[in-house]
Amino acid sequence: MAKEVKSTENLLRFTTVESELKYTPWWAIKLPTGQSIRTQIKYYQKYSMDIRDNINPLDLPQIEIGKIFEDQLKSSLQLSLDSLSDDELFALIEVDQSIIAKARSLEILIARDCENPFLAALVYQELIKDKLPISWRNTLLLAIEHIQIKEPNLRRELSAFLLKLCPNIKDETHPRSLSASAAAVRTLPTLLDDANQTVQLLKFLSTDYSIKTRHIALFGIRSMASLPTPGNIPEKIVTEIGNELVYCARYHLRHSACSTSEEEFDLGLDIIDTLIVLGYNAVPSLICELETLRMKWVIDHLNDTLSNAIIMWETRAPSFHKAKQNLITAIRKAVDSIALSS
Amino acid sequence: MAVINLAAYGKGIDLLMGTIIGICKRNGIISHIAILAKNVNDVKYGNRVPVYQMAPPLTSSLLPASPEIENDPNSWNGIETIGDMSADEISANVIAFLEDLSEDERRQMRLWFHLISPLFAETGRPSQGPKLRRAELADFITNCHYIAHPPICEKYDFTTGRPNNLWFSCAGFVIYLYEKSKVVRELLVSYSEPSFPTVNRDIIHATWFKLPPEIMSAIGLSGDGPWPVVMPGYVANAFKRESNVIRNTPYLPQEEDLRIA
Repeated sequence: MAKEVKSTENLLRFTTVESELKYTPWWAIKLPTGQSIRTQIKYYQKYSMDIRDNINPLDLPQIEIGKIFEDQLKSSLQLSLDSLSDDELFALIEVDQSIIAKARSLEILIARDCENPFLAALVYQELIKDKLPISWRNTLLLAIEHIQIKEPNLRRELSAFLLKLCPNIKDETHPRSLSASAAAVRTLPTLLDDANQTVQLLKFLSTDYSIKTRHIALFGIRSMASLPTPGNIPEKIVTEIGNELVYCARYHLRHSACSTSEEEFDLGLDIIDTLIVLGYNAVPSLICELETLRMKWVIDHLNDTLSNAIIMWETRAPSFHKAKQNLITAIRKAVDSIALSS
Repeated sequence: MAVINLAAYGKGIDLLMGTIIGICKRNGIISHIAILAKNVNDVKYGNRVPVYQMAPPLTSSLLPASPEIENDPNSWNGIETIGDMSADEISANVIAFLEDLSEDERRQMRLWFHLISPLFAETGRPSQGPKLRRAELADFITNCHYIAHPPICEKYDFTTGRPNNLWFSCAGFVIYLYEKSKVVRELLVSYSEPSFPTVNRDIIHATWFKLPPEIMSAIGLSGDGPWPVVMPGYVANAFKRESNVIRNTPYLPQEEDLRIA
């Protein structure tokens, strides 16, 4: 059904009231600012659908019209939602069907108080609902890292949920799923209270995940195993993590030589940084083994990483630093040896 | 001197990755700085060049494009950029560089960009379009981890004390990358030094645009000021010294360093 659209300026002349909406062509709709949120959303949903269904590819201004239309909605929703109380926003998130209004309400609640315990609980309750629209689930995952979650049970349940959820969403084609998955992986280390659970992050180092997600997982591993207290996890677990990381480092650093991918090389280097920070005993032999590391800037980088690790160990865990003296010497020797051969 | 105002230079110039790119306002104040993400030849005043930047948010045209969210009808995060800044390219008005920046140092800078960019919260890439509404801008800044003061800020999880995010100003991001990759030891004197210049609200407004109080507060500028903000022009002007001095001696900015002389 083609519509005649003369110019976008025409649109701006319309000021439609609720009673007239029924008879107004879709391209002339102006959202009823000042009406209830529910009414506005209802219009938005109805007329978004109309626009989608009735669009004529020859109507060039339709894109601008769509944008004006959406801007109007955002503007009026913004004003309306900002004036609601926290309780009203909570209720809207729980019961409303409009994801756009729920997302906006969530943003407002986070901006008001990201430490609100009810907010954390609400996000979790929403996340575990069955048949959640992907878009809303992604919004919730992206929101989590902006919320402080203090309640121990909730932290435990949410981390377990995220560990289970992330592998399932990595292959989704939804435009925000990759970002949502990355946000969830970034949040996990802050939720896992027991450093022994660091091994849980290893699964995100698989090549099934984006390079960015793998960097995030490495940061999480370093953060859980070494910060703020280096050496706070049993040697057995360090070995388990280290063995896996050595495998990944070999893969990426060798593969980067064939693919000439800087990003893959940098990921491999990030893994070696992590092994050094963890104080993993086999890291010197790995450094000697990998010929791709024999470049001056890499040697400088490894020396810096070691120096920073030593400072961190000295200041935060002197006994760990003392126990790692032989390893420090061995890493220095390994780096010197590749410097000589480079 | 390794600082050039391209408007006065008059001809094209070949730039190497790592060069600092600045945007000037009509009043001459440098409003934004970033780091050139790859070599570009024959750059003239106003040409758009690929950069690493905290614009906000931190982006680079050289990273694989994160999934765009503009197509998501339910997204509120497809928010437009501020003024001239787009996702990953900016107009080159002013450049600053180290004449002896080595290829190894450039490689280190790229490494550090790859290492830190995953720490940023997901906001989606901004697209060009109308300027933001006030409340949207405040939310956007909060979400994308932009902060004007202090220039570099690590955030920690409340419960575990583990670091989970980095926040930067545009100047803070440039300083962080240069210092992390050991190109310079300390580019500027610490803003906490009493001798560090302060800026008032008028200067902030002249540098960016008239910011309402809620946005000033969101970017770390609460109260009436003045504040020892690390301004983009300070970073550019730090490069008007000899290379070995830039590398080893922190620069104490002067009030006039908001602009290029």
